[in-house]
Amino acid sequence: MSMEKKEQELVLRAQEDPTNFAPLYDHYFPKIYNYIYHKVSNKQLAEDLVSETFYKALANINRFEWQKRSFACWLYTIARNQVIDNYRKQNPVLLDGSEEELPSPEHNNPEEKVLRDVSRDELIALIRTLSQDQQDALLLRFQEELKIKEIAQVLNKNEGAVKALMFRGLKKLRQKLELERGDEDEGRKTYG
Amino acid sequence: MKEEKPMDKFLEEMGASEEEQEKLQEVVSLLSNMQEELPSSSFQSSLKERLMQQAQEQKYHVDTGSAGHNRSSNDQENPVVQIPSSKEKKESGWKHYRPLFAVATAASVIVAMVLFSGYGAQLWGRDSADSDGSSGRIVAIRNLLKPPEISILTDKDELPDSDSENEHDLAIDPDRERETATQEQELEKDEQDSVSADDDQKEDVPTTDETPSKKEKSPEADSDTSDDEKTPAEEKDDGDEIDKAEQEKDEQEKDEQEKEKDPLSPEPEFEIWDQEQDIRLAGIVDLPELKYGKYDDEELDQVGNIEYSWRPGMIMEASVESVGTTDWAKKLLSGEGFTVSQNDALKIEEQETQKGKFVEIKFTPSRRSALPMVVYYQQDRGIISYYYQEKGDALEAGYYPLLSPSRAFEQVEDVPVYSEHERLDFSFRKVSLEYHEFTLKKDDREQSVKMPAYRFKGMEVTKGSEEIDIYLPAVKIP
Repeated sequence: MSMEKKEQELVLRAQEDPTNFAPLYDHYFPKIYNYIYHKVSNKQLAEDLVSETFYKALANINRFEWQKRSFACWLYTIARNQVIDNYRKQNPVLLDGSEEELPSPEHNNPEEKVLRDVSRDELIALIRTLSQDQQDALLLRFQEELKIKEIAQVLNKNEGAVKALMFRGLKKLRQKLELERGDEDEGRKTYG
Repeated sequence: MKEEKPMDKFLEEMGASEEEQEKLQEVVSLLSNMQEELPSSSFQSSLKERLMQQAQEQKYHVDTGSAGHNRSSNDQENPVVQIPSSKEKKESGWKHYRPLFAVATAASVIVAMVLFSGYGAQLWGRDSADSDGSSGRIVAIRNLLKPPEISILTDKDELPDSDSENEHDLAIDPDRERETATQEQELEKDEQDSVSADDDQKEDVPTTDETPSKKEKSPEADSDTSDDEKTPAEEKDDGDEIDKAEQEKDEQEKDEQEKEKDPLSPEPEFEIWDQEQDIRLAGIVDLPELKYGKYDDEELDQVGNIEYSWRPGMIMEASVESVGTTDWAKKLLSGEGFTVSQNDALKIEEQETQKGKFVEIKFTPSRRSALPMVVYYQQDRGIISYYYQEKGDALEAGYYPLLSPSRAFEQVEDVPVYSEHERLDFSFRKVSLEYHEFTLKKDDREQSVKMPAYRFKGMEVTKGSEEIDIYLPAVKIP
């Protein structure tokens, strides 16, 4: 039985009897937690938002329809909405993707390619400076490994728009990483 | 660690050069290999437990609901919140209490009507006052009662403090928030001062550091005490007041002397600054999409690989001597990307202050679609602020602060561009200030709103296209 078929059956069983939600929860919990954590980078908040996500999913499992999108997309959409709602409460300005000013290209070091030693926390912090849509597109594609078509369903955009978001997001992230690296090198020169 | 993936195809599709693809692929690798965050197993299991309890409750509802009864679509949609079926009602003895319940319901409806009719009259009474031209605060109250609609708020429209939803959704100018926070802090401080002053009075302990402001806050205390019955502390207060008056007199004299020495006012005082209004957008501006090239085909892809540049016409430093002349003003505005033609009106006012020379340039273009603008210039600093004159077509008449064209241009990245080309390079050189209808979105609602916008004119440089216009909001957006 294909994964999709198996998942369909699990969802159907959960729709008939909500106590059958457990296998879906077990399968998706780590993924949703990981996605939310990278969006909020706060363990306690991530736990709260994950709880909300699964409560909502369970309560509305009968509203889910296969024709529209996969169960994973549906779940990520709920998770994303939880994160957005939280941002609304915490920081209304950031919600709209007010991005930090990009470094001008002159300040970048185009030769600098050593990006691999960037820490996870640094990377998360940089991701969070991107617009919400760019963050989602990159995390869902490269962390959660969703297909572009699925990401388009989660973000409610067309595939072209998702590709554009990913491309711009990557470009900005690259610039920011280079700037960080440049600053660090500058620091080493001064103090090291 | 996840396995490193082969080059993502979309980078090629986006028209990235090989070098660019390589660089971006490094970022892709970083993202793909970013260590996953592992949740604590205790949290995972406790959440599962709670969810299963919830599932049990849901199951009960589903079971009882599906026992031979057709449930409403609403019940089907939300199995958690459900109205008991007629069978359930019957089983729970509902029928026996029905007459009693009906009487209780009728009584509570009557009580509610009596209470709320008075309340409603008060609110709507205030609302009707609004139509007579009273303050914007009442508009805000009315808006709470009406189905919410998106609008541009001016500084006269106060937002309801308690409505957290509104508070979060409505974008507020951060400077404004800062001001409000400072005001709140000051208020809090004043309150604390007044409380401590009251406490001092209650304890009847003579204090030496009471300020006159504290005294002002308790006039009753002053009137109760006659001059003959002054306490030592009060006598000291009188002494303080005399000292203070003398100090003020000295300061006044000093100021006058300084004025005689330096006749320049310390700060510029332009009339328009007193008429300043403020705009806050009650939603998110949805920038209109741009279709570039042959766009008969509706299935155009959104282009991600776009370069934008804003290089206004002429950047030139006007010489110090010429500051304030019409030629100088023309050059200054041209440097910002505006075109000043012969029929356009330029009115210039200069003010020499202790902080240097300030110039106000009122620019009224002859073109009908262009809006009148006011630019402030400070010698050695350049243009310090932009305003536009609203005559009441879109908002309440007055002068509203604007972003500079360069700041407004930063929003260009959010314009969705559709084209058959994979890579585009836009260059803009001219700008004009006009009204434009933007779509403002809030939650699931959207509304078309007329607001001041910069119309940037430019072209695609690699394909050498015709002129392209992009409208971007000229006011601060969230």
